[in-house]
Amino acid sequence: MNFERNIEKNEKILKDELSSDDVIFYSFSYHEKSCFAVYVDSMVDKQVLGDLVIRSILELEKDKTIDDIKTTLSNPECKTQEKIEDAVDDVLNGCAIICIDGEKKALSIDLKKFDSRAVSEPPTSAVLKGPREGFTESMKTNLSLIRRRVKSKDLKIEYLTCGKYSKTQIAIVYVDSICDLNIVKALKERINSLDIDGICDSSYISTQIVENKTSLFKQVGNTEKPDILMAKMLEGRIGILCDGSPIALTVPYLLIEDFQSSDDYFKSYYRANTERILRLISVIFAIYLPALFVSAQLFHLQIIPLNFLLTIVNSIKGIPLSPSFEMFFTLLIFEMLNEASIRMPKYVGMALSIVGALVVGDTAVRAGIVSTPTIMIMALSGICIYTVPELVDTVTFLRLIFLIVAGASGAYGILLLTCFIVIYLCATENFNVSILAPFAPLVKNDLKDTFYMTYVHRMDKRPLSLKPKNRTRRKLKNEEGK
Amino acid sequence: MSHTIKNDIKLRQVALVFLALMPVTKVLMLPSIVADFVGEQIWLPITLNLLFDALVVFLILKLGERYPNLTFYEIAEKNLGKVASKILFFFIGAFFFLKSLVPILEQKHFIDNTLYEVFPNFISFFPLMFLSAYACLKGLKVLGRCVDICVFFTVIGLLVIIYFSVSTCDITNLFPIFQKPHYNTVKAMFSSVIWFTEGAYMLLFLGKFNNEKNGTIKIMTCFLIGSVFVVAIAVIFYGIFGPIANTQVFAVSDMTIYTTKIINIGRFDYLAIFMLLFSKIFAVCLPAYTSTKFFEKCFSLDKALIPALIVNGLLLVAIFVFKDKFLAVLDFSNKYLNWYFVLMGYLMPIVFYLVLRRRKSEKV
Repeated sequence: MNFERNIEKNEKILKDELSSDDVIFYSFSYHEKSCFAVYVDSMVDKQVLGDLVIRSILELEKDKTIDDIKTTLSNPECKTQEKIEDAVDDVLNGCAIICIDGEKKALSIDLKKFDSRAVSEPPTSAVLKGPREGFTESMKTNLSLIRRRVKSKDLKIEYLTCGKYSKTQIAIVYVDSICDLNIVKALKERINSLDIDGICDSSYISTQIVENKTSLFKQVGNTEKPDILMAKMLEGRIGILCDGSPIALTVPYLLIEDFQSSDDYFKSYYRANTERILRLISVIFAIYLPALFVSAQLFHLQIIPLNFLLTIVNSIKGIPLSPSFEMFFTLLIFEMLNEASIRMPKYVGMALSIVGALVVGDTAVRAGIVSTPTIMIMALSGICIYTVPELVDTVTFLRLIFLIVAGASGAYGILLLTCFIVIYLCATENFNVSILAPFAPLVKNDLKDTFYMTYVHRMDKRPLSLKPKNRTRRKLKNEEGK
Repeated sequence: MSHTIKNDIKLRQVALVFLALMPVTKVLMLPSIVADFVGEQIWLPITLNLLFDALVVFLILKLGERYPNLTFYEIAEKNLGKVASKILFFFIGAFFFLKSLVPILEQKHFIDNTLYEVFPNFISFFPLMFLSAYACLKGLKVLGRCVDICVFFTVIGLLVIIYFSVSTCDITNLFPIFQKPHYNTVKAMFSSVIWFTEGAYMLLFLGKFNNEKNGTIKIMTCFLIGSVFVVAIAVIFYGIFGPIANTQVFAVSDMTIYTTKIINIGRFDYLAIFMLLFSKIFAVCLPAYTSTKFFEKCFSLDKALIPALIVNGLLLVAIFVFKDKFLAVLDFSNKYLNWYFVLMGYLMPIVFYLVLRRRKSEKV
């Protein structure tokens, strides 16, 4: 529906469309013409609206058309709208709409002003060395953090809107001379095809734009830090920012990404490699250790060295529960404590620690309900799981499944389940990129930055698994600079 | 008929099948069975069978060069006609079905006897067939990726086994050479043929990968490395046990048993055995996968679901029926099935190549 010359009709239609108490209709006159401004109270900078917009209009000497007024206003984000629906969308997005009697257009001025959190270090990606800035819930702040790092004309930002009711702004960020533009196209198509009421967080998008929506493994990368997003974009990935979410998504995603930490590239080569291998071992321990311990006790006593076997035999003497149930019970308690510690107020945390350590740990062992090795293995597995925080959800679930399988059929069951997961992972791909790359399919060049990381100055090619347009990351020079 | 390169699987992955999956099927019971026939000459029948396999791989690759970008199905249909090619596919499918039976029973036998002090309920072995059916539904792309992963496990597993056992190997046990009658060698080759005939897998891959420059050399090199591993394990095995090698049923788990390192830190070698078992699971699934694909073509089915369920369901029934009859199955195979293996695994690809070569030369 278009605006009409009769301002009263326009006002009536807008009032019908925007019938909410926080939508303000402010009437004023300009050269004896009736005018009104409409805006959402909590979203607009009223001082700027009064001082720089309405006052400027009132101070105009001649009776000017709305297009002339647009050019005289000192606001760059000013446009005219002919359709009422577009004007309504603008109002809901934080613009002020100004209608003047006799004009078939309305003036739309972007005057958004929200309270937002200050830029701070994200709690999930703390580093010892390196930048500490993190994304916030404000899209503009986040984009400025990226722009400040990538000052290239090749950095492209494309806006999309998603959510029937939330109309959330989504920005696709990429370096167009590096990334595969087919992936950008496919990504835009997938986001545009989303039919959803609202986007509460970027996680909503991450679960919707993947090919296998029920997958156990995540298929979209995420980060809360602009330096990581920048590094990923320079490797050929595409960033997705969602208004209201401090988590940026990245595609295509490789499983190995979660084993890489941003400070690996800022530390010594030796330390970084040690840490990466530790992360791999930790994840293996977290998944397999409880299962292997149970299966070794139940079916494969010959695998355990004699001295260790004697220790275990002594400690499990008199335990009423079977090894698998004992481990399952301990795991359950651990997960309950974990869940409670996240949700409960901090000042109750101390009590929880005491209950967890003393009641569950010490007393249960003394009472002969669980054995010491079981507690030890569960604790080790529980600690190991957090060395790769991005995989906590998946690893926790896998640990449980492996434990059940180990209790039922021992090491062979563990092997079969591992094979199943390998096939499942090999078959999982998103945007035609296998999440197991560069191991499956094997990409020799990309092995330089996996569990083993070569010197940063030797990473001369971008990851080929991501099919970048421009493969060369740095040109290697000899000592003479050639 | 399609004339575009499918590129479902990469040349490297085809080559790695012979390095990652081929050796692991030959290191459990094969050495002791061959040792029973030829004793210190253990390496000879194994090498000869591997040479036959290599010949089959080579000829199928040559066939691929003569019919670039065509799959085996397309070549067979083009030259034999629809009906004859479907009959051929049925026999090849049946061959791979039978080929998967013995390794599955062998694996079960190995796991029962070596890995478990207390074996869980027999039903727990069943998921293997569910896994195999799941794998059968996936494309060659997924198979290729699995092979990329398996190669690490196979190579590391075999190297660890060799490292742990080579110190207790007495090489003089393998002398004198060429003392056993040739008849024994031929009999050993024939009796162990069920563990070989793996060159025929190339029929599945033909036309599905981009045979780039030096492709044949790359595939044959991987085959050679895989073969070296197989012969090395057999030789070390006989070097350790000598005349009593035929009483040691499972080579990989028995070879490392006397190593001092193991006495100190427990059966550390089991890690390597588990690595090999990991690859072995894929190696066991591969013939079932190939069988499914040939039955799918034979009956012109759009999806692999039905043949995958039938093949793996029948294997499941076979495991249930023959669960404790591994030696009887082996005996039956020696008497009645090995000829079929020789026919389909060696003669058919060779004859197929020679006939097509002649036919094409005549046309020219």
